[in-house]
Amino acid sequence: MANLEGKIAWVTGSSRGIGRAIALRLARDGADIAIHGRSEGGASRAHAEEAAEAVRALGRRAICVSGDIARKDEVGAAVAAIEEGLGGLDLVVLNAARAPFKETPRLLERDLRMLVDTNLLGHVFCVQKALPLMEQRGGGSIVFISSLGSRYMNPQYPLGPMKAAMEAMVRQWAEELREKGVGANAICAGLVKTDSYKTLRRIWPELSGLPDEAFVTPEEVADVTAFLCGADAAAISGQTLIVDRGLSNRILRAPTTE
Amino acid sequence: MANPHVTRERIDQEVRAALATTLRIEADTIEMEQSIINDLGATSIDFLDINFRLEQVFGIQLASQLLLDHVEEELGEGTAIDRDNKITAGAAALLKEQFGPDAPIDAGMYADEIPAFVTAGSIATAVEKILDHLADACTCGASEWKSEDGAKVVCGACGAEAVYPDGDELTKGWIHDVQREKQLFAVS
Repeated sequence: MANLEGKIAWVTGSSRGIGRAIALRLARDGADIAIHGRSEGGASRAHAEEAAEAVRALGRRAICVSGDIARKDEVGAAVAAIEEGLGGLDLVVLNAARAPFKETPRLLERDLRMLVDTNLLGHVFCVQKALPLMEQRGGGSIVFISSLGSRYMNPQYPLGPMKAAMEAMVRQWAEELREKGVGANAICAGLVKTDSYKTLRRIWPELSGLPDEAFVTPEEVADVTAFLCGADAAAISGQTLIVDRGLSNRILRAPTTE
Repeated sequence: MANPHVTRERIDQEVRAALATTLRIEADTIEMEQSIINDLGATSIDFLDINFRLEQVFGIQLASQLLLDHVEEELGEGTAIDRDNKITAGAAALLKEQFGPDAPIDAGMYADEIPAFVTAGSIATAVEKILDHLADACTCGASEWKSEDGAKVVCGACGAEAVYPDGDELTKGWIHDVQREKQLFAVS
C-alpha cells in the first residue's frame, strides 16, 4: 500500500474502467480525487458522480470535473475547478483515451486529428496546466496509462502509435520536470476487459477464447499506479512498466483457445 | 424476404432486454420510439454493449459505426460531414431514409446530434434488416432452417447456425444503392 495521505489526485477518464479503478485505489491509499469525464451531461456524468460517491464512501474528498482533454481551454477549466474544489494537485494520472478502431486505409482526416489531438496533445495540455499547481505543492507524480499497442501490433488500433509517442514523452518529462520535483512514469497495460475491449473483441474474435490468465484487471493496473505515485517508486524515473501478466513474453507460446 | 423464424415482436423484446441490462432500467418501461441517448440516458460506449448482446442472441454482426462514417469512407471525406462538423444536404436526406421522412434532421446540423436519433425501434429495424437476409439454403445444401428459441436460426439438416451478411457490408451496399439511384452526394 502506498501512503498517499494528504495528496490530491486527478485521474482523467475516470468515470469508468481502468480510470475508475485507479481513482478508487488512490483514494484507498489516502488521496483526495478529481474524477474527470469528457462530457458534462448524460449518463457519463452519472457514472462520474457514482465514482465520486464511491471515493467519498472511502472517507476521501472527491469532485467531478469535465472537459475534452483535446481542447486546451477545457483542460484549463478542469484544472481550475480542481484548484477551487480540492485546493491543489499532487498526482496526475493520464488515463483518458479516445480512438477509432480502423485500419489505416479507412482512417479519415478527422479521425487522425482526433487521435493526435486527444491522445498526444491532450496529455501535454493536462501536464502544462497541472504543473503550476504541482510546483506550488513542491512537486508530484505523473503516471501515463499506456497499452501493449505501443510496441505490438493490434488489429485496427491506430491508438498504438500514440501510446508509443507518449511513452517517449514520459521519458522526456522525467528529465525536464525533475528539478521541479515532478516525476513521470508510464504503465503499459496488457489486455484489460473494459469498454474498449468490447470493440476489440469484435475486431479480434479470438480474444473471446483467451484464458483468464491472459487478462489483467483494472484493479491490478490501479495497484501499480498507486505504487508509482508513492514514495517507494522515487527511484523509478521516465520508465514504462509492463503490467500484462507476462502476455508479451510469450511470442512463441501465445495463450491459445482451449 | 422476411425471416419467417424470428418475429418483429421477438426482436423488440430482445432490444428492450439489451437496453434494460446495459442501462440498468426496467425493460417494460421502454417505448420503442424513445431516443436511446436523450430518453434512456445511454452514452456512445453503451452502444457497444447493446449491440454485443443482440449479436449474441441472434447470431448476427450489427454495423460497427454510424451511417455517416460509412458514407465518408465509401464516398469520400467531406461528402457527409463538412469541416465544421455539420452534416451536408445529402447526409440529411440519407438519414431521413434511415430514420423516416418525419425525423427532424436538416443539413447544417452538427454531426454529434445524430446519434440521439437512434431509438429502440431503429435498433430493432437494424437487427431485422440483417435477419431478413437469411440465405435460401445452408452451405450444406439443405433448405431446412428452424429455430427453437425464436432468435437463433439453425440448419435442420446439419445443425449449423445460419450466417448472415455483416451489418457493415449491408450498410455499405445500401449507401451505394441509394447513391446510384438518387445521387445524394457530390462525389468528385
